[in-house]
Amino acid sequence: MKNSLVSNRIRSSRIDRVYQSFIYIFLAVVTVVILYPLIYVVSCSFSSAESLVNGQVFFLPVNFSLQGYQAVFHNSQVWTGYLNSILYTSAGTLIGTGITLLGAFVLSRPEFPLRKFITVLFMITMIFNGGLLPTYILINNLGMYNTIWALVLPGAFSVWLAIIGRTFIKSTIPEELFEATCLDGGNYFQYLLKVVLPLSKPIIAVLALNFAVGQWNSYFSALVYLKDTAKFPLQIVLRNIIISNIIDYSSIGSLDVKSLMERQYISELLKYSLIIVSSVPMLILYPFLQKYFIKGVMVGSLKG
Amino acid sequence: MKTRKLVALAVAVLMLTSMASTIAAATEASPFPPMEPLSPEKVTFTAFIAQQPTGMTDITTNTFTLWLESVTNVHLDMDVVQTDGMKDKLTLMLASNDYPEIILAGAGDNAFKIADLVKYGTDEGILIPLNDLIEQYGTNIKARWAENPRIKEQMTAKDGNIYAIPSIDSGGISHGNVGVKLWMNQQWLDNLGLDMPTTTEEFKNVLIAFKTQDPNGNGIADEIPLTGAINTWCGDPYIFLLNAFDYYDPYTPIKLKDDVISLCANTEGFKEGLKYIKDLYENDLIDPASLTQNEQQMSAIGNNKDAVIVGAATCGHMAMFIDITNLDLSKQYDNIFPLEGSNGYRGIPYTTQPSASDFQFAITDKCENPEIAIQWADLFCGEEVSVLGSVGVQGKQWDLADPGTFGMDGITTAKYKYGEAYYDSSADANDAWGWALKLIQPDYKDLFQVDGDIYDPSNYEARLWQATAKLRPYAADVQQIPNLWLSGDDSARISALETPLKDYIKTSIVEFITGKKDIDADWDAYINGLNKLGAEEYIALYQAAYDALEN
Repeated sequence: MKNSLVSNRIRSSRIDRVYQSFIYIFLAVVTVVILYPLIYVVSCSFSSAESLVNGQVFFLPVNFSLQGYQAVFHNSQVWTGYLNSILYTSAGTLIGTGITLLGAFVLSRPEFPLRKFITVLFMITMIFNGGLLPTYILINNLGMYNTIWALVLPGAFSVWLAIIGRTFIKSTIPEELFEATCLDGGNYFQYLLKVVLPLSKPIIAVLALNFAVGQWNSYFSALVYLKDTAKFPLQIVLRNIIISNIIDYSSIGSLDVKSLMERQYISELLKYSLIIVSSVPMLILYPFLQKYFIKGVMVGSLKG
Repeated sequence: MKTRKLVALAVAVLMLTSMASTIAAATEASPFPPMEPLSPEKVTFTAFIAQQPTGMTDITTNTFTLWLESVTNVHLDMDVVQTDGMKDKLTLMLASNDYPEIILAGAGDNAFKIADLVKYGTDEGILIPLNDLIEQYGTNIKARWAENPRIKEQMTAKDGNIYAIPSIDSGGISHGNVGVKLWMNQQWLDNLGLDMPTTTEEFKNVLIAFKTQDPNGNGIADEIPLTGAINTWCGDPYIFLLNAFDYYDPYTPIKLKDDVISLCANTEGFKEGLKYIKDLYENDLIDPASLTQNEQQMSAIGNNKDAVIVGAATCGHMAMFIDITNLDLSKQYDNIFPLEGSNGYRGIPYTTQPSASDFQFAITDKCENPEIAIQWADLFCGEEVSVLGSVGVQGKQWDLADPGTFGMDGITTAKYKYGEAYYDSSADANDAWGWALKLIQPDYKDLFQVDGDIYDPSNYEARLWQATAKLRPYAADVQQIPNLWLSGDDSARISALETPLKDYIKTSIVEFITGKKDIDADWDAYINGLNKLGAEEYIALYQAAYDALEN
């Protein structure tokens, strides 16, 4: 660091400085572009519904109010949805990471004879799938309809994460460690548990974060496979409130004034606070996993 | 094991009786005769139902759900889906042969459409015909039919069967009958000593005066003579203005007149209308933003903090562009009559007949007690369930009217009045079903008392009612297009043609107005474009279906 500063001072020519200031300006613009919508949403969520409707919010909250949050937390479904989402996300992450890691480990072993064949089979599922209807019938016939398993099991094995995992294990864990384990009388399970897992923290973080974000954001399987309101995850509750506020005016005859007004009011009041409420867990989780995340993906991406 | 079951039963009975007695106590002053249970024993139906985003937090614990179950003895084992994406799930269920006994489709886009009824009723036989059931048990439905025979016609498929019960307002005036409205600042007219414009020429002069004579009196030329918004209910400013020259319905590119179906967007009147609007646009009388902004942005300028700056706005109801709780502002605006164009045309698209396009209730072939299911649905076509289901709880959302008060039309004696809680749009309300299920409702809304200031937000619906009623004489001279019960192929072809056609017309209108296309020079190219998109085939398909229906 110091070195580069010194050399900068001595050697940077005008061209260099111009070039650098361009980079800084460019990065500043990118930062603003990314940050502004975030700040805007946060500000909106703390503003009164009135100032939102009047379009007064541009950057900072106008007429600071917690109205939106009060309304969100008054809605009992938001609470049950929150709890359900946490449950589905933890279960989905645990199961998904476990299964995918097992698959990655097996595929990483060079002595496994069907390695290539199975990889191809897996790849096929990345491109082709059974389609919605057959999957739906299958899940139903397996008795998973309206249970947590319908949300957690079908996506538990992710092919591309397994491939990243395989590459990671192959490229970062020396084969000699396996030989050493064998010499010490260890079997595959002991090798996996005592050697591979402790050395694979970055890739575990990658898998966990991917599954966690995927589960947290997923709504379609919940929409299709759940029937009890008490089991709905947060995303379903959220989408219902935010998206359904887009009114189909062509069939306005059957909608009364009250519904129209309510929808206007609710969409303005709840939209932003709901977005914040639903993003907070992921925002909290991300910094803890981020360092592994970037490292893991980079490592896994090499020597594919 | 047996004793445990007995204990459970005893507890259940106890709970039920105590529930029944509290309900009985609460409804002592109920204006409705006591309801007979539909079955001596509890009947359970599996039901597909949509939970609406407003007015309910959980449909399974909703006050109305519990009340209806207690009085009818019908329990719904609900398969709840949120409105967003419900159509997908319904399609899946019906296709996988794993569907419930009754289906309560949602409202609007999520309801059963004609094409769905043809598919699942006529073609696949999943939905059972309701004709005999209604004949035998549908007291309320038959009463609604007697009031307006057109409802029955609209419900009956080409094969003579009724597969579903629609959501419909049984005629009468509802503000939704006319979406094409223009709200003008009456205060400004008074300030400038102008009359309400009745012709397009006068309208232009009013807009010029709004722009140049500082009607809000703040000494700044900040006035926007006419604004609107896109992608919302009749918000585009050109819709109202085109209707001053010829019939133009924003929701369908066709009209039916003298039993002939034709396109609206290629007539001489349409062309003249475009020229008129272009002239307004070139003179800066139409807010250029109105061709790009959404409803929120429109309401931002409508509610401008420092001064009132909007002279006129086009939208379905005025709360779309101003905050109606701001009485000073709300009192300034009123809707104007349709304008008479230079070609002598004057009219407005007005839904004069009830039309059934959204079907909400159907019984599937898996239903074991269809006669109870139809009686249950029939309740939704009666007054009691309409009021309790759509408005809420007596003593909370509504109550009996004060003696000597009148309903919205000012003639009918009022029977009910809205309560405080009705206007409280808090997020945790869970008392009514709202539009989760609305079938052929009687005109109960007219029976709710309207008193005090018509500008009061609580009388907003009455105000809109009046704004709509006064337009009745100007209803355009066209026939309402009936349900055509197209076959699956035809309806797929029509919707494949319709979307690009609608988009093309919309974009072309804007291009003509803004001068990107010249109305005279590019007119033939525009007509050619319509034909290229299959306008002729589209019209022919509609005409054939209409002729087949009439003969």
